[in-house]
Amino acid sequence: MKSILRTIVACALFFTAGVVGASEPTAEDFNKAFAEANDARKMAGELGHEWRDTAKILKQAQETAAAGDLKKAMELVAVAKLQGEAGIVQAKREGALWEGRVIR
Amino acid sequence: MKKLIACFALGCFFAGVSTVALSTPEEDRIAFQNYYLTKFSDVQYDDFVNGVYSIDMPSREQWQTLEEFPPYELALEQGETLFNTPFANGKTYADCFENGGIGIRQNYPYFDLEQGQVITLELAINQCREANGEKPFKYKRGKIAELTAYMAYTSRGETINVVVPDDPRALAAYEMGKKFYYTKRGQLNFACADCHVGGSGGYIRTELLSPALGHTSHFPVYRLKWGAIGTLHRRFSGCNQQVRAKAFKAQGEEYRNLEYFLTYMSNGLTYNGPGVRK
Repeated sequence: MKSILRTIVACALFFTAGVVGASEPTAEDFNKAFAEANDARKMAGELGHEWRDTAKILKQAQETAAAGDLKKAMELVAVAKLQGEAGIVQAKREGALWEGRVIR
Repeated sequence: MKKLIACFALGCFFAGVSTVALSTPEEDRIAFQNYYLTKFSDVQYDDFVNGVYSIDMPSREQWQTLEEFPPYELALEQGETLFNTPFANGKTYADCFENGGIGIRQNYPYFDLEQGQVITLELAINQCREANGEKPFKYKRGKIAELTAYMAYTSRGETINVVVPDDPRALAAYEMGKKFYYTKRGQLNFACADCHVGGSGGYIRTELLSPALGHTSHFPVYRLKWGAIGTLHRRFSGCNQQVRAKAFKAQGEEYRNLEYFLTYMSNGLTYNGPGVRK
């Protein structure tokens, strides 16, 4: 019975370690995600809707990645990408809505 | 029948669009000014040049006390010295401007037909400097603000008179400024109009929001927050950052067009810069 339990625990540890290992981002993952987030920021900027902190967050992500904390760096990049994409949505939405606010 | 209905619907749509698109700058200005005159019916028309102090009596008293020994006085003196100091080639600012640069502030910004762009006083000053072999000033603070403070002072009491000439490029610049003013930006999703049209007279935290009518009449301003005199574009930049939008470049096309629209809205009021604000 003990040996079965040991085997189950060993298998669980093995697979958990495998899963955790697979979710650890690599530098390549980071570079790809960073480029996507930066593209979204640039596009928002071209439309006149870049948000104040997006570039700062990306810079922070780069510094965090350089310090070796890729997981945290990926989280920051995700926030920046979300901001860039939200800026693009905002620009498109406002293109249709601003005239409705003009004092008449 | 379906086609007829579709045509009718399309016709209605375009009729609606054209009605919106065809409001002239002058129609906009009248509607804009009437909005504030109705909303703040106790405020005299000419008093809107005093910004938030036209609607907030306790702050007005403090402001009037400040104006007895205005903190922009030193900048004004330095501006006058700068204005009268010749360039290396012996020419002065007076050589670049109508009426020798005295009492002209109220006519800025204007649309320059040759350059095809809105010219603000700050841009004109730097164009003058560069034409005379001098380096341009930075646009948000320092010498440019001192110089325009002096030039503004010589225009005190003059009627704001911004012109949108009959030129599609000028109208486009005006419309771009208008669009900017009413467009929500930044993480907080605010338009200039959210605070200073609908929100005017209300509070954001402890700050009473000023009416937009008269907003450009008193620039450059000495802001207690800055501890110095600064330009209108510095203020635009600060407003954009407060709503967590990336600010645009001072004297870039966006802010010049915005200034063009916003100053046109105050046509008819008197110029009273430089001013002092919180």
